[in-house]
Amino acid sequence: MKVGRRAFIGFVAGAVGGTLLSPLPWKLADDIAIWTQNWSWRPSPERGHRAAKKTICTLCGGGCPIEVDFIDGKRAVYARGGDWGICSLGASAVQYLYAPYRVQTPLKQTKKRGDISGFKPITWNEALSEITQKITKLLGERKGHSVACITGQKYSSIFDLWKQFLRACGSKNVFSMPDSFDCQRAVSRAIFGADVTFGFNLADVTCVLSFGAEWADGWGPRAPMAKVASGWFSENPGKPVTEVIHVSSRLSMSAAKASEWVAVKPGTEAALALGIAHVMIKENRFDPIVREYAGFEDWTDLSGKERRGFKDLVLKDYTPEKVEKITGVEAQKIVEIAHSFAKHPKAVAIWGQGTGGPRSFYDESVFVTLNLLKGNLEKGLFHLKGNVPVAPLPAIEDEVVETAPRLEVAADWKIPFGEYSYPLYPFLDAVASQKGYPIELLFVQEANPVYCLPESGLVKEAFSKIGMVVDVTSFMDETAVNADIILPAPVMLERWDDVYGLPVFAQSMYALSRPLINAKYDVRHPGDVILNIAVKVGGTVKTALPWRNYTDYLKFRIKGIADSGRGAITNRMDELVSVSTVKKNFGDMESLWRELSKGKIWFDVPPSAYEIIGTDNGKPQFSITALGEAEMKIEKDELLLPHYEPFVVSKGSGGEHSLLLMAYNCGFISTGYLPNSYLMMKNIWDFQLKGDDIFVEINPATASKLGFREGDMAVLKTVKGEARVRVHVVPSVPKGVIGIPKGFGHGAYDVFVKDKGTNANRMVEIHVDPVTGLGIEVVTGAKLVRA
Amino acid sequence: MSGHEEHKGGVRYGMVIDLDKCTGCMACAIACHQENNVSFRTDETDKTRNIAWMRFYLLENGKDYPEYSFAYLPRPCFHCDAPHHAPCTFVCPVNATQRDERTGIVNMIYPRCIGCRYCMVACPYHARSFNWWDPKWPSPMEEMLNPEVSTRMRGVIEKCTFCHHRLNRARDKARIAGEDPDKVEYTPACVEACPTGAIVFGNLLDPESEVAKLAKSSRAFTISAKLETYPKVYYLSSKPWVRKLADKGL
Amino acid sequence: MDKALIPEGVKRCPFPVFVLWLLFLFAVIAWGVWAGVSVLWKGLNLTGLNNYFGFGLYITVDLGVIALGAGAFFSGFLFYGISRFFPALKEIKKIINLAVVVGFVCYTGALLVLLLEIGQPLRGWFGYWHPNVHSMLTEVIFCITCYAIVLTIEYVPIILENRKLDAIRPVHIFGHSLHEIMALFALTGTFLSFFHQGSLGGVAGVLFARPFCYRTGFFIWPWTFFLFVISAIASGPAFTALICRTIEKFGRKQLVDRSVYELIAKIEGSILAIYIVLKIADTLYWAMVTAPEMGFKLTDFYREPYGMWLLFAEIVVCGVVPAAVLLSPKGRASNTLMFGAFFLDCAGIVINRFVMTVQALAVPVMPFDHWEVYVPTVYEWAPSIAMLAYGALIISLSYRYLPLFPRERELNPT
Repeated sequence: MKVGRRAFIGFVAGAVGGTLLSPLPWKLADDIAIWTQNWSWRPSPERGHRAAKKTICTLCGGGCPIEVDFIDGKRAVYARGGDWGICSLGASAVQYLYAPYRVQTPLKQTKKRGDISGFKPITWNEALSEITQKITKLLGERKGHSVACITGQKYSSIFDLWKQFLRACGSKNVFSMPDSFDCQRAVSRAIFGADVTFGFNLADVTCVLSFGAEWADGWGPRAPMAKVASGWFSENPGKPVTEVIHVSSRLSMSAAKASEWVAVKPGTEAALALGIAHVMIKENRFDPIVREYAGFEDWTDLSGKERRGFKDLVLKDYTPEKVEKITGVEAQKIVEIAHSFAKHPKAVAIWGQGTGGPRSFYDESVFVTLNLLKGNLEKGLFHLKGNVPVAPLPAIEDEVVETAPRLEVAADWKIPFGEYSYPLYPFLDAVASQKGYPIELLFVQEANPVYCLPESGLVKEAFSKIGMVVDVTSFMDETAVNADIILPAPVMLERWDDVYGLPVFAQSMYALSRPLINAKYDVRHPGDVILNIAVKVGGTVKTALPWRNYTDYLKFRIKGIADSGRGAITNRMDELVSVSTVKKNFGDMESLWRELSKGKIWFDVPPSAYEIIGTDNGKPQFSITALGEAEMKIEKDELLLPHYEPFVVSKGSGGEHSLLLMAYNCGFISTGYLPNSYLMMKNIWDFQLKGDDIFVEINPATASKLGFREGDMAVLKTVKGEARVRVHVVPSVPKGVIGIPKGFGHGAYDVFVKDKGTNANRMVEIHVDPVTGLGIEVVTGAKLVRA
Repeated sequence: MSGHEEHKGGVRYGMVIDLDKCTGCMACAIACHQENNVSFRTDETDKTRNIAWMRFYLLENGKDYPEYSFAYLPRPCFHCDAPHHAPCTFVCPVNATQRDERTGIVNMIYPRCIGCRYCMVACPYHARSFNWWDPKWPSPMEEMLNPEVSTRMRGVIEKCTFCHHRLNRARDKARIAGEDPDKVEYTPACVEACPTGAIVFGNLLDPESEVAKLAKSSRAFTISAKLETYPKVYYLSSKPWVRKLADKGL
Repeated sequence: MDKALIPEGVKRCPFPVFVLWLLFLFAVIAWGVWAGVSVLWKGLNLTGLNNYFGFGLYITVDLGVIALGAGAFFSGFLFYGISRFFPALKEIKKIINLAVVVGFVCYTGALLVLLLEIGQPLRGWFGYWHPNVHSMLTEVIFCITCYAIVLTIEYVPIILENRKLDAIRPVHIFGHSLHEIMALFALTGTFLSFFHQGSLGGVAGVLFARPFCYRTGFFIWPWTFFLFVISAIASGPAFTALICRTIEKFGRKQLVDRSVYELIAKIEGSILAIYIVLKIADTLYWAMVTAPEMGFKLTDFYREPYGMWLLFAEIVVCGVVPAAVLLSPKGRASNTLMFGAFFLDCAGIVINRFVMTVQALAVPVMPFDHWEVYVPTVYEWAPSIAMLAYGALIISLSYRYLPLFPRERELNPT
């Protein structure tokens, strides 16, 4: 058959026409639309019954009750808080559970340390055997002291388990990651003669004088702190709004929320506090009881030497005029703040550091004295926190296992109050400079020192001198990358844990976090890892740790609480933050365990301070006699008193680093062991991070002086390092100060957080506090040049 | 309260956010995005392109150090109660977004949206985000997706629904219990998360509800009230400079 | 080679030259198709659009070409509708075919670009299935579809006038019959296009939460309905005239009598004058009443790169100036001035569409919001430019093979 052109065209036209008249095109259009509604590459979550399970959040030391929603009990989909709401970390709980950067099996580095491609999966048995062999070898060489540990779980029983384990090996080198409260035990020892931390009754105050306590940006447990703070700003009949005066150099969120923000020169908060003390003492507007405290008036030390008292020091050296010179706050303003603070019947002074770490010993003792001047110890606003009566671990005597001194002592660091703090920086310095003795084996547990510790250069240097690094972690973080063996830990929701919660608040608290879901990967609880190794090492190490597993150990701990009969259990959060009397409402260990695993919280009101105070006359003291005892030849009288000690900023050769770099924490950015969650990254401001560029804050005056405009690229240089940054021009920092947020610039995890911005910790400088040995981060000399 | 009464029921869900209490912890946004399966990308810093149901805006008082101050303003969808139509529902050519007059909630039907973005253009509050990309969750994060909320596909608009699915769940529960489903109370994820209690949610038409009382307080205001969009999300602040930023003024 | 297809008695460029020109156009179109397919395949993330600029170059180009394509409906209205009452308008016949072709390419081109613009093009037909009667976009979807059909119907008889096709008897009869009823379609088209332009005006004007766009009503809410209609008819025929002039320049010959241009100039001058008066009144009322009621000052709306210069360019340079030129006999007498004025007229309308689409979205409404700037990407430019190439292609083919200009033979005797 011959088909002509005409016929062909006719056929096509007919076919098109016919098709259009048929239902086919309409059906196709419909089918295609339905297809777009069911694209196979669009995830479609499996349906099922949604129900909540309760547990306690252990992501920070807060110990907040949370509920996690599960689908058919199998998939966790959502985390909510209890009465306290939830913080951004807690709300991200399920993201950490399903994070792709979780470590799924034990890994061993087969190439050079730090090379991520060198990790090869090994079995648990292989991993533990290797570690055991190392320990056994060290013990055989009587080098048990060269085992060390850095844990990120300070507010948990595992801290004591590490101490016990290392003690059994003959080592005292157990450290925790720094936080805002590290210095408190030393200050408490000095002023109250007791090794305790402080607590405040923040729910029942009319005035809060905050010296850099960034309560809105991570000071204290986040959600409970936010809850209490919201009470400060609520206008309720019969309860006036709490006056919140915030003292800091950078306008943080806490400063912005405060009724009044007092801007001081960086690091001079304590001087302002002394100026306030001056006004109160001069005008006789302080609690007369402090006159009875040793060292308030002039005093005589043990050697019979006459020493100046606190009163004399404050009246002579901290007049408002002198304080104005130090802090930059007008003398008149200082008097006004002092009057305000003195006027309130329930005024409390709190303190912290915008960088998140501790402050210097003298700074913190100054802030304590303000509370003493207000009589807050008697008023029940300022407390010496009682310990949680968990069962103590069996003591190991030196006759059984000999211990060497802690490394920093062996390395000749003279730290009078090092016993009451965990002087991590002297330790790292000793390791890095190879003083004392070498560290052959370092355990890191759920901490990320390589990223989180300020002055990361020192940390890396120290790591390079350590024989073997074992990281017990859930995540492939910077420290894991720099480890030799990685042991995967379950995350919260997959494991048992306990937490001594609520730093900052007066009550002591204890809670249990129970597993809500089976562990996703081949993981072991860090506590079980310790116990497993102990069994394998055998001998005294095994007998010192007699528990079958970590749950057993937790039950042992809880038995202590049950036996003490102290405190009560509750599920009402408000009881935890406002002081009341408690009545025991639980039975024996088993029943207490059951109640706690249901999400109830054990708590106890703080004991009377005078039961705890261990000074000679049973009263607080201004004179820090313990320093005199510590064989330090102290000439200057003020060194034995709470006073303001200026700090020295290294400005580089020729003072070229003339600007001050100030790192800061934000409540919505995670700076610790956990990286920012996926959804936290969504919240980051575009003036903090844009693409992969981090922004530093500079004042408009600094900007115009240096010729920068908003968003300009710059190079930030300090004595510790340099980084490419962008400039954010904002008057939240004073002229000459550069603000940089912490929590960016990760070098690990996955593309969602890796290489986003720069790690501020790399840029900053640490000053080691001579009294406590703690690393203090205030400001660092810096310069900003055009990129 | 909106200046008109054409509601079919006695329920008008609304929200009050206390800006003086908000400490900018942003937990509300995380809870919201977790609950509602909001997708994320490797770069979330382009705020003109990323998807956020609860977004934060920065309020500044415009002064220099040390008088400078700022506040964060969390912004869900305002579920505008303008008479007849919200700005967005008025313009959707395919009825993919409509206001449920029984509840006042402005909903979104993702499978019907054709992605013309007219609603996004109409909304002055940027409450609507477009799916510029196929949403993807890195493995195994699909496991955390909430089956009560469908994931969206590329090319459609999404926005805050006042956790409408939670209302549906509450209504179902009420029906089973033989109670009036129109009288139920429920809590959206952001409200549940907020540790300061800065967000209050409820029925604006119930004079006894906390949300209605707060919305009438002297500290209450809405954003750009002069546009007469009648947002059902109110803000509270005692700070004059914050209140001044609520609306443009001559 | 293609001699047989070319209308009798007219001269066209050599076939190889024409093929080269076509190849160039096809290359541009292919570039646009590549960009368009990429957008369809990978999504709108390839464009410069974002959550602030939901509308951008695609919509600007669409609105622009639809306004300029309005020459078709207005010329049709003048010729088929009212020339029996005003015989002077019979002149329009000399250019009406071109107007129809331009209208056809503008509308079909706009539809093609619209397909890219929506995030879910496969669901595009939901507009017919789930229409929201309140939405201006629903009105746009219906009108644009109907009018595109009408224009196709108007275009068909012109195609059928091709020598070869016309030789086929049934086709000839069909084409002839269509011609007979063309007045009906022209008037239907006028009505549809009137509504369509109006609803496009409404698209911006009804955004009652967008102070830059929002306008109140005058018989119809919003009155941008009328402004868009008038501005379209004030520029459409001018655009047709410009294209005609361009073809003349390319072909180096006269295609229509100068009197046609002058007639268009008179009409456009008058309408543009009316429009610009209304536009100024609108701007004043908006600046002094509507916007202040919403809390906005005029200066709130303009910031670089979308500065006050846009307002000045739109109203004075591209409005008042061309209207004055076109209304003055001296202006019409000079080719430079007249066609310059046509160009400014068209440019002004495009600026108007741009401003109502893009600048409208740059203006922050919340007092604490940002001023954003929109930068289109190659994925937006390419399909837009390709659409123009598509227009050039259709017009080139039509000019070469169809008797578009009834006076061509007489004006260019061989």
